[in-house]
Amino acid sequence: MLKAENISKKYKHEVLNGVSFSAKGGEIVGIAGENGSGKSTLLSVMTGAARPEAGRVLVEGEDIAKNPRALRKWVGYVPQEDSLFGNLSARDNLKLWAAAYGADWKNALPYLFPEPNGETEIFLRKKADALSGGMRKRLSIALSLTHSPRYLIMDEPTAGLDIGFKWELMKTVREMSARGHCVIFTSHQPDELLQCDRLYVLRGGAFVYAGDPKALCGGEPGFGEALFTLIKARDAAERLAV
Amino acid sequence: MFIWIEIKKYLLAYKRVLFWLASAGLTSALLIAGVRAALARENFFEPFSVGVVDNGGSPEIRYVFDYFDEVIALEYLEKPEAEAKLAEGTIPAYVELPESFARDIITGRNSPFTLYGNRDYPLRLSLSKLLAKSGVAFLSSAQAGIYATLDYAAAHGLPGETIDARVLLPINVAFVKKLLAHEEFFDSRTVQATGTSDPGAYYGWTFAAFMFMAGLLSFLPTLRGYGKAVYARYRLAGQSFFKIQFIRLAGLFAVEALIAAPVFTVAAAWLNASPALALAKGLSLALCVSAFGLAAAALFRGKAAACGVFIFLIALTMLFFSGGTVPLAFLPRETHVLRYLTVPYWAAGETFSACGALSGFAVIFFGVACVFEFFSVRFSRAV
Repeated sequence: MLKAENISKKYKHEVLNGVSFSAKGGEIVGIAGENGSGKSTLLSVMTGAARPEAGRVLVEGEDIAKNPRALRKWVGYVPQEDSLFGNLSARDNLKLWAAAYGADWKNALPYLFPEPNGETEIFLRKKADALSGGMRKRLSIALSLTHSPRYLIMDEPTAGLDIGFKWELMKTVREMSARGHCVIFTSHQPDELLQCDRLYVLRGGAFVYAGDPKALCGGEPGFGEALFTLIKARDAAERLAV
Repeated sequence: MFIWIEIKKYLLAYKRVLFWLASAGLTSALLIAGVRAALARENFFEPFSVGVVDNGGSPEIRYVFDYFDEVIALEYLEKPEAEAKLAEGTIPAYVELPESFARDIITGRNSPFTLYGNRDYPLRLSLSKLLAKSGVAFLSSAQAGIYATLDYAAAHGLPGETIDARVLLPINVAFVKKLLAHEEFFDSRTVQATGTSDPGAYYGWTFAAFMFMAGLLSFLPTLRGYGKAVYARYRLAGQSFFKIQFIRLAGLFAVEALIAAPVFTVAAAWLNASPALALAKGLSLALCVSAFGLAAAALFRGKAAACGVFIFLIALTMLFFSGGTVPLAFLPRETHVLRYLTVPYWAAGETFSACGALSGFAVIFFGVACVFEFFSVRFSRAV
């Protein structure tokens, strides 16, 4: 299980205020919230990139502040920005990041090519700069899977992708979940968030909703509107009314 | 494996840069080889002397010429001997001074001397001409004092013979001695003459300047890729910030060394210097330029800013104050101290001091790179 307990984080102002979060293998977890609500900061804390002022993050029962190896072993991270080296081929990008983790780059191949075909080699030889936006994102995700992490954390993975790639990506997320991986991602898209097993909604540094997304509106129709109202709710009274 | 892929990344990024550098290097090498072959045909690299036939045999003139002897070897000869040596090519030229030369110069009269040269040795002959011109310029400067003395004597109604015998001669000799002792004046002549007579000095500068500018070009690929996302991934993978910086430096150095090693070794072989020492200097320069490039990548995220500010402002300024573009003798004396702060100056210097200074520069640049990169990543973190 990946748990974040009472996380508080402050930059110039308070971004997270006593947030608690949990996810377990096989789950798809979505995190929603306005821009600047603290989604990326929460992911930074969970991936060890930022140190919280209070609280702790546990991965499989290990505190990542005390044992960063647990984080390295169990968690994969796909940042919002591209982290590919454009002049390297897809294969070399995979090799580089696999080497950084001390893993075998071929571990990522089943994700990239569930059924290897003639295009596999062509793709691997292509420079990252020559790949389409969707394929770049796919490769970017694959980089995080070389060490076969149990928890995959993605920061707005579908941003900038066309509808076809979004659909493919969500399909991949469901497949990974079926294989026992836990996928945690942030998003602004109601249709993606609705596919989650659990939804967290951040506002003002705290979760204003944690639970089954379908329970938010009793089903798919009206989910987007309900989410919008929840995110934009200005005080506790409004939240309770939702 | 991890380090090797990082280095491979730079090598791939440099493919185009390496092509240009290799082309430029090859062109330079061919040019130098051609020039060197032409010089060698003329025995330019062998020491040679210029003859002086002093028909007057004045000690004052010998005194003046002894100073020029520091720049180029002078051989005092009798006229028939000088003609024979000129004909057989032992000396490329000789100067014949008229009998009254010393007295004419001292008393402020025009006294033309003759330069005889062997046209079979055009480079040595042109060097001798340059030296003769320099001598004329020098004597003209000395005569300025003589004219001042003459004016003074005329103003006070002193007879010419008295001036010549008792006043003018000692004053003018003293004036010439004072002028020759004036270090700055003589330095500027020495620099010009040494540069022409010692081609090795210019080769050294050429290689140093070439390596310096080439290295600065090569840092451009490092501007790409190292955003906060990359650091976030590296951090999660357990790779420390400083390790990444060292690997980046190693990647850059690998490429720089690939260029520096052959360039400096071949240059050393040409100049009959020690290839091992030249290689040590080349690698020190490569390390220095790599760290310089890393600092540039940390300071300027965009290629335009890096090229504009870094190359054309800092690098060219450095090259200028090092004396790499204009000899230091032509710059104001107060600016000479700035050469110690420049990379090309040390790169062209003696091996051991160069290695030490360049390594020192590398440490400083690397430190600057780490500090700026660290704060750049830290403050650009998403909130």
